Order: sequence, then structure tokens, then C-alpha cells
Amino acid sequence: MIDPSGTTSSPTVFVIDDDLAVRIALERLFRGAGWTVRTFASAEEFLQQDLEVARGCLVADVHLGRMSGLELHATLGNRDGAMPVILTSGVDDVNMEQQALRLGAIAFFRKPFEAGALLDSVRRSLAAR
Amino acid sequence: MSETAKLDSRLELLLRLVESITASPDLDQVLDSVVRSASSLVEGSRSTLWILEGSRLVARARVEPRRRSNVPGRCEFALGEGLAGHAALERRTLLVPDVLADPRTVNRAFHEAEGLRTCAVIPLISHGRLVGVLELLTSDVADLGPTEVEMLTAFGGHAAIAIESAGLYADTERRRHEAETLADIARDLAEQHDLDAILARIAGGAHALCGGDVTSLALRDVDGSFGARFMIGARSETYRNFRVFPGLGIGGRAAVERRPARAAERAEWPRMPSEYAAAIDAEDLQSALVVPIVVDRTVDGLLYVCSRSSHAFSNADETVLVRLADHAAAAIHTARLFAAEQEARSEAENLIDTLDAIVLDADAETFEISFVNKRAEAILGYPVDAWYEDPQFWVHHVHPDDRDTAAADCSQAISEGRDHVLQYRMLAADGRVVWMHDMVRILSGGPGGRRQLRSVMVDITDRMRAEALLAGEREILALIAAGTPTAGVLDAICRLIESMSEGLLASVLLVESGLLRHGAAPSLPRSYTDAIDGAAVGPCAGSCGTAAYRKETVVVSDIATDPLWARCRELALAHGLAACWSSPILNGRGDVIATVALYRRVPGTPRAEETELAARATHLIRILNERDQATRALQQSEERYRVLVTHVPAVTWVANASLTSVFVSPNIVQVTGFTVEELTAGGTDGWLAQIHPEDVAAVRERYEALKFKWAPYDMDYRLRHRNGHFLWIRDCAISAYERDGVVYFAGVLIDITRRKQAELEVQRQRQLLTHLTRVATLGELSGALAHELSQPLTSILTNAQAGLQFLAREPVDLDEIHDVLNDIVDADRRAGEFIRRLRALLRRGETPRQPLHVNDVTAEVLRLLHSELVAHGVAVSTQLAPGLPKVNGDPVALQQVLLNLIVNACDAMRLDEPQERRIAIVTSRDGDGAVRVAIADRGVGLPREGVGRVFEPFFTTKTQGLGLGLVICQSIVAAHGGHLSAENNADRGATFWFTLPASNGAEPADT
Repeated sequence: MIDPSGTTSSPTVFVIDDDLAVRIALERLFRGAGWTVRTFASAEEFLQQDLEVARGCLVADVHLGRMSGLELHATLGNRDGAMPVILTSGVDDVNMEQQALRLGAIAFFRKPFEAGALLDSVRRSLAAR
Repeated sequence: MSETAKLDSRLELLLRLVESITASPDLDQVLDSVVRSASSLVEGSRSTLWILEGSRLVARARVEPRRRSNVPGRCEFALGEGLAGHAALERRTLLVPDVLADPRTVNRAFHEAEGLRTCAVIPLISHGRLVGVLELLTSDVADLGPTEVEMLTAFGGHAAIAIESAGLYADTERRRHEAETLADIARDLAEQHDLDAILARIAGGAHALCGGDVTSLALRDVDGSFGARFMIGARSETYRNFRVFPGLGIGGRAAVERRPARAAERAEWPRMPSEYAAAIDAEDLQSALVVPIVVDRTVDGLLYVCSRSSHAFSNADETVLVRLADHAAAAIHTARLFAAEQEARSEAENLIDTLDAIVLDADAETFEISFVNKRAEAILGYPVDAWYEDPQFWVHHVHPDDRDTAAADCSQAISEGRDHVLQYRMLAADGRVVWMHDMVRILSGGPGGRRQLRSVMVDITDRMRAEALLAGEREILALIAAGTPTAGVLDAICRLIESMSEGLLASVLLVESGLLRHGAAPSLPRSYTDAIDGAAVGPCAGSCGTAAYRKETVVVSDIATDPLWARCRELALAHGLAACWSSPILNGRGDVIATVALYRRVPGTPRAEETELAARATHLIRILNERDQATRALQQSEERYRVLVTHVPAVTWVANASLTSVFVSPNIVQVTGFTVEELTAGGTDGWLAQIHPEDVAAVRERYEALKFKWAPYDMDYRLRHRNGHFLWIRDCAISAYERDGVVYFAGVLIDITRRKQAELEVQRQRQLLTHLTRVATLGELSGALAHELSQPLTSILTNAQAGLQFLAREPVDLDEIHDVLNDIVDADRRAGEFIRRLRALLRRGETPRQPLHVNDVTAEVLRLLHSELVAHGVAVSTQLAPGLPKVNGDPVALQQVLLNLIVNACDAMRLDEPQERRIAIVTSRDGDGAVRVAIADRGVGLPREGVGRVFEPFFTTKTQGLGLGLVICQSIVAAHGGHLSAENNADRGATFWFTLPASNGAEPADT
């Protein structure tokens, strides 16, 4: 286990979910794990920010407003492709899961998910950077 | 009123009219009831009966609505003038839809002022003779249909009979009156010698019998001129005093020509001196009849009757006047004889022979005749010698039925020494029965000092006949009115005829489809009537068959030789029938309905009074036929109703206004298992006791409204069957009507249990379908719904695990834990709320109606659809009007409508660019008392082939849709009293909207 306090600047987890309650819960979870957390209600909002994404990880819901999580993933991949992406979904959709993984998502979680598994996945993706 | 009921009440009207005709010989009364009946056909109509007098139609009876104007109506028309005059002249029914547009109308101003637009005129024709017209004026052409015209024709037929009948009655009455007057005068002649009294009586008789305005009897004076001696009705002194000279004026003409002179109108009076004209004009006389009084070949007097109207006197008047003048002559002669004290027997005999009476002298004990006048031969037909030859002639020729009584009464009076008067029948030489009015005086000083009697016998047969006929007719009319069967009435008619004329055998045959059927013939042998029964009508078929064929009277004076009897000659002769006269009887349409035949056992032709008997019989049989027709029509109508009431699977009921007396058709036992008696025994309460407790209050309310407001109703309720289960009954109170001052209600009960069950089944199916489509919609949304539920669950789980992380640290941040738990609670609530919503939508059956705000319903649906909208990238804008009234609705059903419309909108925008996917939801007021919800999208729009198609069942653009969503939405909105509609937007996409009525007394929603 890496102690986040031991790093000069702690890695940032970017959370995109259109549901405020989910955003708050995830923010709390990741903060509790020692990461810096930034939350966004939509993909557009996230893209508008000029973000330092070098050491970060994105946790986004597939079902967002105009631009879906998958589209966002594709967009990010086209840019500089470095940020690891973890997708979540409230719907059982095998196709979508396969598509996401094919596009290079680190993991795909169906809501409601085990927080431990998500934390592990985020931790792994951050460590891989 | 239904058509049948209308017909029924009209038949009754007709029957009453027939009754009133048979019950009253008073013409005015009958005509009054005819116009009343006619005007009652159409409310607010004006009905007039015009009688033909000469060449003019004169209004005789009229019923009209309250007059609107002062424009005078006409009371008289010439033939061919106006609509009434045209119908009379052309002798055909006239129906003029718009009298103002018809060129024949003469009194336009009147019709216009009174608002009378449509006119029907029925000519009244009796025995081929026009007697008048019946006219009905109404304000609306729709009031005069074929039925009304047919009824008017029937009324007109009755009026014609009544007018004709009145004429016949008048005639009979007149004859009776004449016979009485002449008998009275004859009695005076026999009993007193006061000339003035007799002449005054003659003048009075002439005045009464001829019906003139001024009557005078003038006698010749020494200078040869005539001065009025007895005058009645004159108003001017000039007329009373003027004298008539032979050759001048109408009286002068009668004096010179020694025969009656007549002037029918003023212009016909002969040339006369100016003082004559002045006298006549002073009295305003128009017509006159003068008969000379000739005594011993000299005109000794003039008997005048004059009238202030034209055409006042007929041949009948002349006959009467001539007889009166004869009496006057006899009286003058007698007076002269007495004055000269010349009582020479021969002259007395002359005098006596001029009397229209038998004068005889006879022995008071033996009745042996010592003198009889020559007139006796003319009156009874026996030669004078016969009277002398048989000492008992008088006794032997009194009718056997009267003989003993007459002789006994006479002997009794003689023994008491008093003059007396007898009435009895005598037998004439030709077999006639002659009624005698016998005035007997006892004279003393006959040969050998024996007491003599002088008898003056006046023939009063006409008077007795007239009276007997009148009485007989009244009896028969009473039989008709009392509903005596046809055969019985016909029998009585035959017997009346036979009683009126010795040796006549009467027979009535009914004509049915070209065959003669036995009607009545009480005196003909059965073997004869049986053989005739069923004979065919034809051009050569005895008297009756031929009369029916020709539609005219057939007189066969000798059956033995007449070719018309070729076929049944032997039969008639075998039964001793020698002559037969038959008259056809025609109904109002001109069809022969019967024949009346008079037979004799000796060959011969009918006498005048026998022809009249046949005419009377015809008249009576026509009245009988009218009665039978009306009765039959009524019976048929009753039969129709009985069949209807018994066989129609509906129970009919009639109740009085207080619902205390109820008639229920007996077939109720088949519906309810209870008999009529069981159901009506307890009155209204007994009935209500059988009604389902949930329905009783509503039924009672309707009954009260019927009782007190005469409000008809049509309601369904449950009624207990005898076996305990409940039937669904439809109960309609159809009409209220009044009879004899009592108001009745009528209605029907129909067992609608099966229909009701089917309705309930349909309703159940519809609910099921509604539920299924709702579930189907939710199925389509399952992804979004799962997402929606997974969000709070995610929040809960994540929060809980974050909380655990916080707890694992020292020191525990309690604020953080507090927040975590709060968020968990919120999320859990949110999940619970969502599940509650979903459960409501998935539940089967209807949710009770409740006051709702459409804005709340909209918000609720949007919450439910949040994920779906997000998943489709659809942006929703709402514009929810504040202060809308509440609607009374099923919240789940209305959510279903909105859900469907919004999902459809999302679906329609599937292919849109993301930024175009926008839905606008607008709520607003829709006029007074309704709200409107509109959902506009920017999608592909409605199909080009027709906006309405989207509301057709199984129309769908989706690959997986049932095609029932919008159909169900429409039925939900309709069930709420609203309307669902759609149209394409001007630029792109479509707008669906629906309206819902505000609930009663709804206060505006909170803003």
C-alpha cells in the first residue's frame, strides 16, 4: 500500500457523475483514501477545465447528459491518451461494458459497487502512472 | 307522445264523436263537437264548419284560438270563392301549405294577422249532395300530415251525416206538426161554428207551418177588393191597411188565376201600383206565397205567407197552404150556410164532403150507420155503399187489436152521455193501417127519438207514423250507443221497418269482398236467408246483389218476371216472395257496405213512406257502421298493445301522479320472479325494499322528482330477484299524460343484467390493458429505472464504506461520520420514494380519484424519468402556470399519460443532434374550468398520412411498441372528461396536449 502522504503532490481522482449524492459519496470515499478529489456533474464541465492530469485517474459514469462516459473516454484517448479511465454504470449492459474495455478503460463497475474494489482499481491505476 | 299513442287518442276522439252524434239529434251540438274534435287535432288551430245554404257557404260552428288581431274573418263565402269555396265547388279536399302564397286565398290580411299559414278543407258530401265544408287552419305546415287529413275526413263524414240527419228529422217533425195542425183545424170545424176563431186559427197554422215572417188572411168585400182580416207579424200600418184588387200584385194574380201564386224574390213580384210596392217595402218583404180561398167557385179570400228573405217557400209549403185554404173555404161556406139558416141536407153533405175527414152519423146503441160522407171512400178506400150494407161496418173495420177497446170506450162514453175522442187503427181496403182521430158527439132527436152519434174521423196516420218512427229510431240509436252487437241492432232496424208498414219483410245483407253476407232478416224464412248468404255481387244478381253492384236502389216489382232475378227466382217464389226493393248503403269512401231490402208477398212498387223507411234504415246502418269501425280500430289498437306488452321483453308500468296506484305488466314475474301483486302490495316502499341498498337513495330521489316535478328519468339500478341475487334494471319514466283530470306516468323496466355484466367485463379488460401498457412502458424504461435506483444505492454503499474508513482512523472525525449517516439516510429515502412511485405504477386496478394539481403530476413524472432523459441526452424545460385549478383524477393514470407522451417525445428525437433534443412542457388554463398540459418535442413529427393515425390502435413507429400507448392515453383522458390531441409544430417536431376539466368548486392550486 502506498502512503499518499509520502508523495509531494498527492494524485488526483476526477469524478464525473450527474448525481450529486453519488458525487459526494465518491468524493468522501476517495478523500478518505488520501487522494485529492475533483468532482464534475458532466463531461462537458470536466473538459472545460484546463486540468493537470499527469497524475490522475478518471472515474466517470457512462450515463451522463449530452456526452456519455464512453464518448468522453474516446475524446480523452484522442488527446494525449495518458489518463486511466474507470467507468461506472447503473444499467446492466454487457455490450457497453465490452465496448468500454475495448476502448481501454481500466475497469467497469456496475452500480452499486463494492467501494473496496473501486479503491483497489483506482489505486492500481494511479500506481501505474 | 309516441305515434301509436297519438293514433289511439284520435280513435277515441272519433268514437266520442260518433257517440255524441248518436246521443244528440241537435245539429248545432253535433257540429260544435265536430269542430272541437277537428281543432283538437292541432293545437292552436282554427276549425270552421261551413254549411251550404243555397249557393253560399255560411259559417255554422267554429273553434278558434285567442284572436291576435282585429282583422275581421269571413262568415260567408260564395261557391268558388276563397279556399273553402273552391273545395266546395270542386268537391275535393284541399290542402294548402301556405295560404298567403295561394292565389285563391281571399282574406290574406286576416291570415297574416292571425299567423295562420296552412289550410285543409274537406268537402262534406252526403248521398252525392254537397252539404258544406270543414276547414282547419293551422300555423305550421308540419301540423297537417296525412293522418290529420284522414281524421278530418272522418270528422267531415260525421258532420255530413249529422247535417243530413238533421234535415230528415226536421222533415219528420214538420210532417207531424202539419198533421197535428190540420187535425186541430178539422176538429174546430166539427166542433164550433165561430168563423173568426177558425180563420184566426188557420192564419196561425199557416204562419207556424210555412215559417213566414208576415202571414195574412184577407177576405173579399162587397166592392170585390180584399182586405186583410187576420194578420200576423206585420210591423207597418201601411201594410196592414192596404187592400188588394184582383189583377194587381201577387194576391191580385192569385185571385184572378184562382190558383196559388208565388214570388221567390223581390224582382219576381208582378207589376203593381206604387202604394203596393210601398207597403211591401215597408215590411221589407222579399218572397211571398198566396193561395186563393175558393168558396163555390168564387175567390172569397186570400191566404198569404210572406218572408223577409228570398226563396222562403217550397212546394211543401204550398201544399200545406192549399189544404189550409180549403179548410178556410169550408169554414166560410159553413158560416154562410148557418147565416142563411139554410140547413139543407144536401148542402150540408157538400160541406161535409169538402172536409178531409170521415163524417158519419150512426145509431148510438147499434153503431149502424145512417150517413157517411163521400170523403170516406177516398180515405179508407171502401165504396160508400159498403158502409151502409154492413150494419157493423165500423166495428168490423177497426184493426182487430184495437176493436174491443175502441168499441168498449165508445159505448161507455155514450152510456154516460158525453162527447168523446178516440184514437184507434182502421184497416183500409188496400190493407193499409190507418190511424184515426175520432171525435164523437152525441146528438139527440134521431129517427124514432133514438140517440144518434156524429163522428168526425181524421186520418192521423202520418203523425202517428212520424212519432213511431222517431221513437223507434231513438231506441235504435240508444242500442248503437250502448254497444249492442251489430246483429242485434240490424235485427231491431228490420223490426222497426216491418212495424211501420204492414206486409213488409225487411232484410239487411252485409257486403264483404264482393259477397253478400247475412246481416239480419227476422221475418224471412231461415232456408231462404241461408241460401242467399254468400251470393256474389254482380250486374244481374237479384235486387240486393245488383243494387250493391250498381250502387243505386233497385226496385223489382215482380220477382216472377224480372230478369234480374233469373238465377234465384225459383227460390224466392218458393218462399212466397213476390217483390223486392233494395238500396245500397255506402260508407264515407263510397264503398258499398251493406244493402237494405224490403220484400212483399204481393207484386208492387214501394210507396213514398216505404222509400223513406229504407232511407231511414240506411242512415241508421251507416251510423252503426261508423261505430263498428271505430270500435274495431280501438280493439285492434288494444290488441296491438296487449301483444306488445306481453311479448316485448320489457316490463311496462303506468302509475298515477302520487305513485299510489301502479299498473305493472304481468311479465315482470319472468324478470324478477315476483308477481305483480307481490311487488305492488307494499306501494313505493315495498318496491324500494327490493332495490340494492347502494342504489336506494338515488332511486328514491328520482321518484320524488317524478312525483313533484314530473321530471322523466332513465336510470340503472340493482333489483333483488326472488332467488336473492341482484338484477341490473334499466327504469325509464317515458311520459306523463292526463286523463279525466288525473296525471299518469308511464314507463318501462328492462333487465340489463347481461349488458351490465358485459360492460363491467369490458371495463375490467380495459383496466387490464391500461395496466399492461403501463407495465410495457415501464419495461421500455427499465434501463433508466434501474439506473435511477442504482444511484442512491451507490451513494449509500459508497458512503457506508467511506464511513468505515473514517471510523478506522484516530481520532474519529464525528462530524464527518454525521454527514455520512445523513447522506445515507437521504439516499435511502430517495430510493424508497422511487420504489414507491414504481410500485404505484406497477399496481393493477384504478386508484381512487382525488383532487390533483397537474403541475405536481408533471413534476413527479419528470423525477421518475430523470435517468431516461439523461440517457437520451434530452433537455426538458417546463413552464408550469401558477394558480391552476385542481382536477379530479386518478394520479397513476395521469402519470401514465405524461410518462407515455414524454417517452414518445424522447423516442421521436432519437436521431436528432444532441443539442436539438429538447422537450418543452407547458401547463396552462384552457378557457374556463379546464387545464391544459402540452408536451412539445423537436423530433421527427407526426406521420404525413394523418395526425389522427397515431391514435389508432396498433399504430406504432417503434420496433418493440405495442401500438396501444396513445390509445390508452386517449381513453384515460376521455375517462377524465378531457381530450387528447396532437399536431405538428411549425418548424419541427410535434406537440401533444390534453385538457382536463377542473374539479367542481376547485380552488386554485397553491402557487
